[in-house]
Amino acid sequence: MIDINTMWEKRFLSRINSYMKYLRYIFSDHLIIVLLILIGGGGYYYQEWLKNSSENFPWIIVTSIIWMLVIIPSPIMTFLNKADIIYLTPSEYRLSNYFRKCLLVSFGIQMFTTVLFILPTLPLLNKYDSNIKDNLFIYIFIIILMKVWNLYISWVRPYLLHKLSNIALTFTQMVVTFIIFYLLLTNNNLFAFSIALMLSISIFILNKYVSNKTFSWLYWIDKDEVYSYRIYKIANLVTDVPIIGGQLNRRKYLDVVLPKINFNTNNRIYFILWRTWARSGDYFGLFFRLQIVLLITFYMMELNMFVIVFFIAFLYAYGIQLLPILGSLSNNVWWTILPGKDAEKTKSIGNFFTMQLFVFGTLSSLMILLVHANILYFLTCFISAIIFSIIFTKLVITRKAIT
Amino acid sequence: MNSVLKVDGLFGGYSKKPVIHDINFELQKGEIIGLIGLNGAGKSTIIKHLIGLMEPQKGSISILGNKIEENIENYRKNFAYIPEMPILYEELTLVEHLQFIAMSYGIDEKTFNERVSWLLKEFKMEKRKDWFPVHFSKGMKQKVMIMSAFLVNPPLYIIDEPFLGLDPLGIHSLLELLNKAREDGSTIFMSTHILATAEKYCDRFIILHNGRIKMMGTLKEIREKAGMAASSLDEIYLAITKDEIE
Repeated sequence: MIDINTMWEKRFLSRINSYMKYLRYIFSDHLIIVLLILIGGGGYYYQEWLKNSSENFPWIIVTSIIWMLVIIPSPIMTFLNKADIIYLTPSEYRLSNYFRKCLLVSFGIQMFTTVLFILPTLPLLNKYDSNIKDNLFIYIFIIILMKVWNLYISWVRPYLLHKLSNIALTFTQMVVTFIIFYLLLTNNNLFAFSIALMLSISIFILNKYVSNKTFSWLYWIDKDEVYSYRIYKIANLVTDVPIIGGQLNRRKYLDVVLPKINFNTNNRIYFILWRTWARSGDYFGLFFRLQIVLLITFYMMELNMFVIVFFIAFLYAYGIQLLPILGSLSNNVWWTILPGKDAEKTKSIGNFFTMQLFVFGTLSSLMILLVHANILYFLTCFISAIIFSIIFTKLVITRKAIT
Repeated sequence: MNSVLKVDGLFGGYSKKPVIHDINFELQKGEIIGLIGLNGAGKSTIIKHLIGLMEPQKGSISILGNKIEENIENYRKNFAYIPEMPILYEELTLVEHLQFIAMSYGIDEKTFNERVSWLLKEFKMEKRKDWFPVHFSKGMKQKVMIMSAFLVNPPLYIIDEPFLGLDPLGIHSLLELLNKAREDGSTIFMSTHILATAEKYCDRFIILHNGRIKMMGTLKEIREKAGMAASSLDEIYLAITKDEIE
């Protein structure tokens, strides 16, 4: 008979080892320097902004939204895999302790990330919230309680999805969590506390409702894959993660930017790279997200040399984060066995990266023109983008021996 | 010169210790050859060497006189490969896979359009040409692999377990295509476990056992060598590999 406890420990340790292996790569890479620059720069600007921010700033709404966004995502690591459908389902009735441990580990990890993301809101509260010193422990208590509640909703989610749609359920979580934080920050502590208590009671009621349901194997196997994928996706920025997979998105509206078929072998790598960029779950989203973050950053910054430093840092971050696109293609056997010269592949890949960085840089330069209406900074950034695109392609792409 | 593929004294495998030993055979223009062997006999290793995914430890392989180390492009242009498990780019639609193959092999637009419309019809995939692999069943994915190979119309087809996952109609279409390709002068090298079908369609057989060629020849020649005059390929195969089964 399988020893469930030993199995859980083995799976947990194996997952931790796997994460540690990839985390080592992440923290030893130059990407971390860019992140430090961005965090350091962001921190500095945040501090400057706090000094001059208006007394009418809607801090309660902003803080409630931030806390809500931090607290709601509550993935549960189950360490399950597809083979469990065959080998573990017969032991389903003995797995309650296994899943209890999974919930505890997930809670522990999420408390760590919660602290990490809620801490930066403390300076904001320090400036605006006159009750912060008296209420800090109540805040912490309610935050923990809300984390527990959201985690529990994640746990019973597959059963609730029989009654409610995914969107309706998330929306309910958002409204409830937001209201409780809003009441808490408006000093309605007792009211917030009573609602939070009612939510805790709801856990017991829901527990009764799901107690005779069978375990949603497929749902949790799928969720665990998605959860691990997130960490591997970060690691994949700096090293090749062989287990990584992704989700596809058709994005028909991007067809206009895709190179058309040209019955000429020189075009094929370009053909597939652009399609992967547009349709894979990662790259177009990355482009779009970085542009939005950059727009907000430019909007919050004053016009000085830091703007150019940020501009280059974002270009670099985009280039580096785009690199895994090569791994996702070259891991496929067709990449190796189809006819075509290696020099042609390297050239097409180089052109693709230069074009990507150039477009990214041009759009970002236009943002500076839009936000600050300064032609000198626009031109400096635009020319830097051209130079950076060429240097990045020459130094990084050609060095990555592509075969 | 009628020799399409020549394998000469091939030793190879993943580690220092070879998995396949002293493999020698030559395929002629316009024949279908079945590579037969138990699981682990070395069939896939031979195929990986043929398609250039593995480097021989000893020996050589040439396709129409081209060796991979001497002229990689001509070597690769002269064969098409159908893998056992379908391998597709998740981000490309069915028709884009075919376009990608056409670009790789330098097929012109007119030929491409003619062949594609015929292949899509033959495999009943016309309505699915803009679908992504994620929406295909395993059999459909295998059909994409087959269409990609027949789009190229190369002198040599290298096929690993071609019937796996195909429905009866798909198997029928594939067999028809194989016959037609043979009539047009192409050579087909396929590994298979479906011996009844292989017996019916293959001109010659290579029986592989423990990484070595145990027997090679037409069914008649193999029957004579095995001393089993009226036996089916199934029976001969079982008798030859008996030591392993026992």
